[in-house]
Order: sequence, then structure tokens, then C-alpha cells
Amino acid sequence: MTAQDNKESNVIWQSNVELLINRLGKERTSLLPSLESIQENLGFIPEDAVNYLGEIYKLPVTEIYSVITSYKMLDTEIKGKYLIKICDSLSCRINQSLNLIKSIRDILNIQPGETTPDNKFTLEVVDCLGACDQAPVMMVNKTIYGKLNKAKLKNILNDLQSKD
Amino acid sequence: MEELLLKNIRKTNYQNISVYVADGGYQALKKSLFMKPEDILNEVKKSCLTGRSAAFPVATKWSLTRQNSARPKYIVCNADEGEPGCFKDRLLLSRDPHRLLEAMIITGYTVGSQQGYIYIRGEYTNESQIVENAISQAEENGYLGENILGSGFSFHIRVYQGAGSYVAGEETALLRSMAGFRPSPGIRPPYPVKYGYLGKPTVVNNVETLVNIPTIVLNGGDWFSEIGNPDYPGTKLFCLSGNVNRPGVYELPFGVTLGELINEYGYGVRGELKAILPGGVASGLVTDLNIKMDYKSLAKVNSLLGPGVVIVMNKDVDIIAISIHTLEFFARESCGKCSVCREGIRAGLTIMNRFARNEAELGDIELLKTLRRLMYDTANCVLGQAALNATVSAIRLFRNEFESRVRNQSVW
Repeated sequence: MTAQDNKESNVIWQSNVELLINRLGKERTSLLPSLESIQENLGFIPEDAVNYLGEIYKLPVTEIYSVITSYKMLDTEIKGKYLIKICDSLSCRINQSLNLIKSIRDILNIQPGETTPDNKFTLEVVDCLGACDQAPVMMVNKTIYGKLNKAKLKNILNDLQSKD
Repeated sequence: MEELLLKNIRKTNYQNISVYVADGGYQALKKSLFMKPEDILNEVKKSCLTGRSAAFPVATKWSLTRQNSARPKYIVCNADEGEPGCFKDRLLLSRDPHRLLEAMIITGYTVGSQQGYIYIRGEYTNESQIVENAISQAEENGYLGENILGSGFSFHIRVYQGAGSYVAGEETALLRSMAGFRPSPGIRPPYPVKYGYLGKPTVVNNVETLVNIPTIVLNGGDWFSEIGNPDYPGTKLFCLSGNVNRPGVYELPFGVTLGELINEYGYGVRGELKAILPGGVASGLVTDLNIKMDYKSLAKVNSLLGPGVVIVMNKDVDIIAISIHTLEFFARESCGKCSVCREGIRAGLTIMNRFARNEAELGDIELLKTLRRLMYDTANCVLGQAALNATVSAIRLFRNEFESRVRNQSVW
């Protein structure tokens, strides 16, 4: 990210949080929606944003971090462009999710929790995505892919690789 | 049997309000607005509708909230479907969203609330968008907002999106999440009907429960109470997955046997049956296909119905590995507030990992059972109380598999 990009994305997340607070109020009830909005805009919640929210809600930053860390979908570190969430809940485990995780590790050369050096892919092993009738499943950003096998997985990852 | 809950999910474009209205949608709301709230409450009471997770009578919950003099009151729909193996609410939210809104407006009118929230799990972003669109359409058409259909009654609904927390599905944790705090379960009582969202009286019902309301209003409580199993009227959604030929969501009466569900609806087990979790990862394993799927029958075999999540396992499944897998899930999702849950699950994992390494002591089996009893008796919420259910039921059903992993005593 260049300094210019950084400044622009700063403007976007801040103005979105302002809009949201205008609509929902400055009470703590709008804290989670604010965090979700920043996560959506930047892909993670940077320290600047936490400090900014601390001032708005008049809360210590530790309190805001305590909320952030209780949710799996809120991150304090930047993730790859494509966030691969592979489900390893019971229904998917029974349907060989471990083999899929191994395949992704082999193809992308990253472990769960890691991001590829080109910042393109992050691999996460997650709990139920609510599509158990299509087990095993994964979600890439907001798209669910079901009834996966090694070949299908390879195709999906190849497609994403070839996009920029 | 006739579908009450899934009847609209195969219809096209049902998310569009004009399609919903042309098919008789919002008629129950119109009817309700001409009724007295206490008469609606009476119909719900007569229907004997119970909450579709903990079997608490809906009319009792509503009436306690209605009687409370504190203002404002809130209606919260729990759509935080985080239970592994559960995918029924997703279907209702994405295919029939207006019926849920209609149900919530009627609930608000009945208990005297003007604000509803739908707490949708974070992973369901598309579903949230569909519900948001439905809310806008309902507002534009006068079914939602100020002075609904000229009745003088006003009601607003807002979507509250979760961000990935299993324990947030527990009602007090859910309300804390909405208030901007860590989603950790509180101590009940006081119950949300008295001290709920922001400390105000709150009805918390889940999607599957609420979706019954328009049907009850249109057809009457007596009509509903005659449907299905006399002990638990209405229908239940069962989410069938795992080693089964046709996984899916099936709507059946309470009391259907596991065998019927798995063989007739799921087209049978893929492979040879080993065990079934009939109520999700918090329930105890069972092996008998004649077991009836209702609260009492499952309690009798030391299991539970929970949200109706049925996970089938065949003989390829290693029961020790599965027990560890469920414990690891609970360890991740424990909010950590109560030490019995936080440390108990970890202790359980330590012991189970000894079995996995063939290094267990014979006394470890008893130790696990004692730990489970301790956690059941003392953990603050159901997460900790139920965390060792699958493990202890596995010991009961497959004791030899545990014993075979006990360290050979003769080496000492």
C-alpha cells in the first residue's frame, strides 16, 4: 500500500463509520457495526481505527480490543485478497475436510492462519459455515463452494490465481 | 405431511414482496391488527407452540414480556445459526424472509413492542442482504414502520449482523453482543423477558419458532395444536448431514424415528452405521434407529434434541478422534468467563489426547465421567454443561475402543 492509498482508504472507512454512527447513534450498541464496517472496508481493523473508535465511544482501546478478539470474523492483521475459510466442523470432517486442508496447503504452500507472500491468499480453518448438506465446503470471501474434492478445489484456486 | 415451515422455499422470487403478498402474505398481519393483542396471545397459547431449541412455551415468554410495565420492549429474532451441522435458518431467511418479518411484527403488536432486531450470524452475509431488502420493501409497502396499514401501530426491524462467535447464539450472550460487549453468557435469572436488551423486557425467539406465528394467526391455535405429535404440536426442521446419501433439511413431526429420517428421507447411511449425534455436537451419541426424535425420548437415552441437527457417522469414523474434535471446538468457543468450562474442556482434551496416543490409564475413563458430571452441575451456561456429552456417550457406547487405547499395564 502506498501512502496515497493509505490516506484514501482511511478516508473511506472513517466516513463510513461516521455515516453509520449518524444513523445508529453514538451509543455502544453501534460499536460492533462500526467494527464490522471497518473490517469490510480494509479487510482488517488497524490500530488507528481502534484509537479513533476509542475516542468516539469514550472507551479505552483495551476494551475495544476485548470485543474484537471475541469474534472470529474481526481481524487486527491484514489478510490476503482471497480469504479461504475451509470448514472443519463435524459434518465436513466426516466428509474428508482434512484432505482438502492438506491439498490447499500443498497447492498454496501455506499453513492455516498464514498468507501467501504475494498477499493473494489467506488460509483459515473455520467452524460450520451452515452449508452442511454440501459438505465438505469452503467460503472464499463471500462465496460458498460445496461438494468439494481435490480436482474441484484445484480448479477454483487456479481460477483465482489467474485473476489479479 | 403438509409442510408448514418449508412450504414456500421452493417458490421462485418469494423474496419479492409482491410475490409474497399475491400468495397470501401479510394477511396474518392484517388479521392481527383487527384483533386484540390478548386474543392473539390466547391463540398462541392454544397452539401449544414451544421454542424450537429449548422447548419453552412461546405464549408464556410473550405473556411475561407483555405484563412487564418497563418500556421500551424489544423483539429479538435469534438467527445466529452457529451450531455445527445446522443450516435450516439459512433456508428460511434466504427463501421466505417476509414471513419472518410478518411474524415479528405480529409478535411486537402482541407484546407491546415497537422495535425488533434480527441477529444474523456473521457468515450469512447474503442472507442478511436478502432480509435487509425485505425490510425496505415492507417499509415501502406500509407493512413495517410508522402507523402500519393505518392501524396506529408502529414497528421497526433492524438487522444486527454477528461477527463469528458460537456462544453468541446463547440468548444472554446474544443480547450482550448487540449491546456492544463481548458475547459472554450472563447468569439467568433474570431472564430476558424481564431484563433483556439494554436491560429492558425482551422476547428472544429463533427463526424456526417465529415462522409458525402467521400460520397460527390465520388458522387458529386449536388447528395448530392438532398437527403432528400431540405432545409437541407443529412440525420440526431436521438438518441431516454427515455420512448419509441425501443430506438436507427435512420437515417432520416430532417423534419421527431416527430410522425414518435417515432411511426414508436421507436415503440411508453411506457405508455402515456407527453412531448418530441426534442434537448436534452438544448432544450424546446414539446408535438405535428406533429412537424417537422428541425431547423426552432423547432425554431418556441421555441425549438431546437441541436444534434438530442430526449428524450420521459410519464405521470409517474414529470415535476417539471425533470426541477430540468436538472438544477442540468447545475449547475454541468457550467464552472463558467461567473457569469450570474454560479449564474443564482443556482437562478433558488432555485426557482424550492420552487415549489418542494409546497412553491412557484405566482410571481415565472414570475421570472423564466425573469431569462431565462436574461440568454439567457447575458450568454457567449450556456450552460448558454439554461440552463432554459426546465424549461420555462415546465411552458408554464404545467402551472397548477406549479400553483398547489404555497403556499396557505389564510394562510397569
